[in-house]
Amino acid sequence: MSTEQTLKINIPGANTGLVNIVRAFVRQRYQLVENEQADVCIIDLDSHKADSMLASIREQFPVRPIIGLSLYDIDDDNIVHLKKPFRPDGLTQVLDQVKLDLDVPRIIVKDNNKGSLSKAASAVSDVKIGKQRAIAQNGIINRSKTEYYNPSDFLQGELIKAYKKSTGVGLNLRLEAWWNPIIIFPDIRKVWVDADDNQLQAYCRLPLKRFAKLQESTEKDVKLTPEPLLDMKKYAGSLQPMDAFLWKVAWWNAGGQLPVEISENDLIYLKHWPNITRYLCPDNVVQICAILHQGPVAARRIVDEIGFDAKEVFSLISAANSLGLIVKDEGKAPTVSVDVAEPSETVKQDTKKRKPKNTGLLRRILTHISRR
Amino acid sequence: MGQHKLIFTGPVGAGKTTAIASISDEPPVRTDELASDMTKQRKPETTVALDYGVMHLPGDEKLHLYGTPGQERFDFMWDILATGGIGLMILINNNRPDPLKDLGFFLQRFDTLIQSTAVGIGVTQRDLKADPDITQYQQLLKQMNIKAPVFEVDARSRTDVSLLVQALLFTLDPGLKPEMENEYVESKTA
Ligand SMILES: Nc1nc2c(ncn2[C@@H]2O[C@H](COP(=O)(O)OP(=O)(O)O)[C@@H](O)[C@H]2O)c(=O)[nH]1
Ligand SMILES: [Mg+2]
Repeated sequence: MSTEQTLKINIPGANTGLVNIVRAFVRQRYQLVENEQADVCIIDLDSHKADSMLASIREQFPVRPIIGLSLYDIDDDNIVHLKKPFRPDGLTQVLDQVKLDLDVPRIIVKDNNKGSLSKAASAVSDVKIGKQRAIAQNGIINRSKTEYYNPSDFLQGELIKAYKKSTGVGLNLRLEAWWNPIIIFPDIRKVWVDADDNQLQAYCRLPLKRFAKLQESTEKDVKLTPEPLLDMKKYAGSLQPMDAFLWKVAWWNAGGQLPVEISENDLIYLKHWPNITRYLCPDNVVQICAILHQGPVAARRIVDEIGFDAKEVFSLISAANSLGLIVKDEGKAPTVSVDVAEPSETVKQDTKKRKPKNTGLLRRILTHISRR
Repeated sequence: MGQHKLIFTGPVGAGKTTAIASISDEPPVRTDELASDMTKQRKPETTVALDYGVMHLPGDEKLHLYGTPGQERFDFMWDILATGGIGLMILINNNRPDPLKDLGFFLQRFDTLIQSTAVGIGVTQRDLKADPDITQYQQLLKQMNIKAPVFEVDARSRTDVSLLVQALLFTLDPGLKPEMENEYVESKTA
């Protein structure tokens, strides 16, 4: 494999929790794949099935590197050990090392018959590409079916509760739910977090319960403490706006899913535009916001008609919803058509004022101004 | 070829000159033209200073970017400038005494253009003064029954200004699709 290629990872026998952790921690250069296609396996050595999985992998793929996660020291030179609890950079470091080792040219032993690769060599080759189509970049599996998440299982839920309390009483609060406290300063509407976005994003993929386990603590560990005497100046360096922070936490907590309270067919709209210049704002956010701001429309329809990535649409809706910007339409307002070519009759009327004759010009301006 | 314009307005110091410079394809000019006809009654040396920039679109098409002159005594120019504009950008300096009132003023003053096209609102200098915050602007818009994007914008940031222009374009037409690269080349050579 070459340096540009993604390293294919398999996590045999793992529960979704561990899969999510790895997904959360690794980026473009890595991909979660099925067992036969993997370059490397990650095994939770503390799981009761660890021994049998290890044996089976070594049987099938004798040269495949194995990364073993464990709370304890292990003495097996053929396993790359990553001690729990680990941080994202710990995992990526280990993976980078493995990738480097694999990138070193390998002598491929040819079997005598028909020039096919030996069992050992084929274990590290990149065949069977077809099967991987179902697996999208960044290790997140392309879902055809809409999935939902419950914000209260994640940091988002605790953060919203803490924001309410803190602004309600006008007191600085320390929220402990994570590896590091989050401090809320309601007067200036800022939060202090000692983590960069990569770390944040990684941790956001974990439900709090799962996180507590990783930290070897019990689940009751969400704590809120008043901090009336904190000297704000000490925190000035890493303060961020409360709304922008919640937006991105919700975006990452959602991981491409809708919050349980919004179904993909509910007619929803944006109460007002989010302040997107200061929020996490991938490419299509502006347009999806405009569609959602124009009038009631179902999430599923935005995906199907405009053809945006469902994950992006759903994450955006989750983020906007965390800030209270999503309104469910209970009335019978006509749905907004996002189809430029042939708007339905009702929509034509509804948006007559705004329906410009100069679509071509607007497109050219858009193309021009979106360039970086 | 097509002549189109996008208007930037707002109080003095809101960042109009800077915003136009951020997205213009040519160094922006500040025209100090003699306003001949309209100012016959006025002193001959009276000039109208307005900001001008341009975006070169494929097929020799241009989007002219105009910033309205700040001085109140030139506000007769505003209607001339605004006529035929594809939309309006209002920039508000958060560091002025009553920025919400400023916004109310400009929304009313350009009501005709806004009603027939769309408006995007950028609140600048929030790094210098945080109050009022963006939600207060949104409340004002709601009272005035206007649906428009309001973003915090630093006029010096091309990204900020570009996002606001994009929001304006998508407000005009939420179904807009950017041109594909090959389409772009075709129309360029057409
Ligand atoms: N600190 C800060 N300065 C800004 C911001 N936006 C614009 N400026 C500056 O504000 C000053 C006034 O901008 P200018 O474009 O001349 O305003 P105009 O009178 O509307 O044309 C310039 O020095 C800009 O660089 C902002 O968001 N923050
Ligand atoms: Mg100026």
